[in-house]
Amino acid sequence: MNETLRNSEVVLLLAATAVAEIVFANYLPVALYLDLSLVLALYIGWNSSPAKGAVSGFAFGLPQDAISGIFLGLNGLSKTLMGFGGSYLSKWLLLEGLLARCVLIGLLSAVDEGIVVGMRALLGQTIQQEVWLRILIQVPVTGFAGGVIFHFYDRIKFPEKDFRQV
Amino acid sequence: MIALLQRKPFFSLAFLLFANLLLLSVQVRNTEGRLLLRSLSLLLFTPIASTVHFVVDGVTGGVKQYALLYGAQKENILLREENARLGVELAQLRGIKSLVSRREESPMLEEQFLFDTFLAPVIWKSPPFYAHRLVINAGSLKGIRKDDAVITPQGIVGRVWATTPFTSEVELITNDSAAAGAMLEDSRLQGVIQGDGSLTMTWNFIPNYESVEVGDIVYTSGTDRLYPKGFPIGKVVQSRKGVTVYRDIQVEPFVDYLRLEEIMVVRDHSRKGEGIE
Repeated sequence: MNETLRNSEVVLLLAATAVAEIVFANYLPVALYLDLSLVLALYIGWNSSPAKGAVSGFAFGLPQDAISGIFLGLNGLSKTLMGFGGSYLSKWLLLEGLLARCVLIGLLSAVDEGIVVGMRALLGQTIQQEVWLRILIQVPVTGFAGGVIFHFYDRIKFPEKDFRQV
Repeated sequence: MIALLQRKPFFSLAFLLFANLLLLSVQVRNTEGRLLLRSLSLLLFTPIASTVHFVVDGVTGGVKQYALLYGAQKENILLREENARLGVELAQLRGIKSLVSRREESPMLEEQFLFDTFLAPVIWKSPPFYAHRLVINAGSLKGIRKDDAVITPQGIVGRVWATTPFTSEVELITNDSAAAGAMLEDSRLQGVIQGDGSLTMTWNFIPNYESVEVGDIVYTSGTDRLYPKGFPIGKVVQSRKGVTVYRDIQVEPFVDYLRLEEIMVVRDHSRKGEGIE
């Protein structure tokens, strides 16, 4: 696996995501429909080894739990799986198109939310009706924004080379 | 270590998932107030204990029934005699019950002394130096709930600590911090029996000026609303004046916890019943 993301980069992304989520939670709640932790955990997993994807997912999920005020470990668990799965998906799927990536990220967002809601139900928590509406909005928003983030980050990480000089 | 994790990605995934579950378990308690991890470990471990118990019981039962018939006839005669004696005793008690039922305080007496029990085999015992607990092969599907009293004809055993659908964990009365209301039969002197992790128990809150002799039998007082009243607990093995205002009394339980094979769970203390199911 081609490790294109250095550990220092991952740590920076983690810090930036935590700050962003705190800012969104306090000042721009509508931005929380974008599951930034999921998008970045997927991106790191997509461009790294499965182990690194899993660790990144764990690291991104825990602050999200802490900021959301739910049980620590719920998003940690789901993002661990997403980061790990993202790495394997990158081997099986070659998705370069923006639309394809948006669809995939949207689907994975639905799976991620399904895991969190399922775990909460297993733990005996009441699941309010509003949760389903939130997921219905979050899936396309995360899918679209995730695809765009993937696209632009790829442009930064993999600038187009001038092959005429080869 | 990192190289190992890179080569074995599923190992790192399993480790992280377990870390998440551990984190959740220290925050979440189930409806019985038990830690999630503790309940999950009971659920996972007890099928193994049940299987081992089933196999061992089957083998030893087969050996006893078919290979070792030595003493079977003598045991048969003794059991028949005991059965006849118990039958007579039961008839006498039914007569007494009929007399009592006509009295004013009958509902209160019935609530204290009549209860429904469920017989369950012990499938696992914890090593006594860790905790005094055991696991029985009956759970919530059989109507067993947390804090149900556990007894044998010899005396009280403890209370149900946690349940799964098929098994239950029982805390013995000798466990550290386990306790029960206790009294002497004759003088009705009341105190609190408390386990301390050893094989004897301490009988607390008995003033120094009270008379408690070695050999006195201690019974449940019913004040804890847990154990049925009048059930034997044990006998006093040490009684001396304490350094505080209370006596220093040690009680040895009647029940041999290390050799327990079957126990009875008091399923509903307030229900009327004929006794053993």
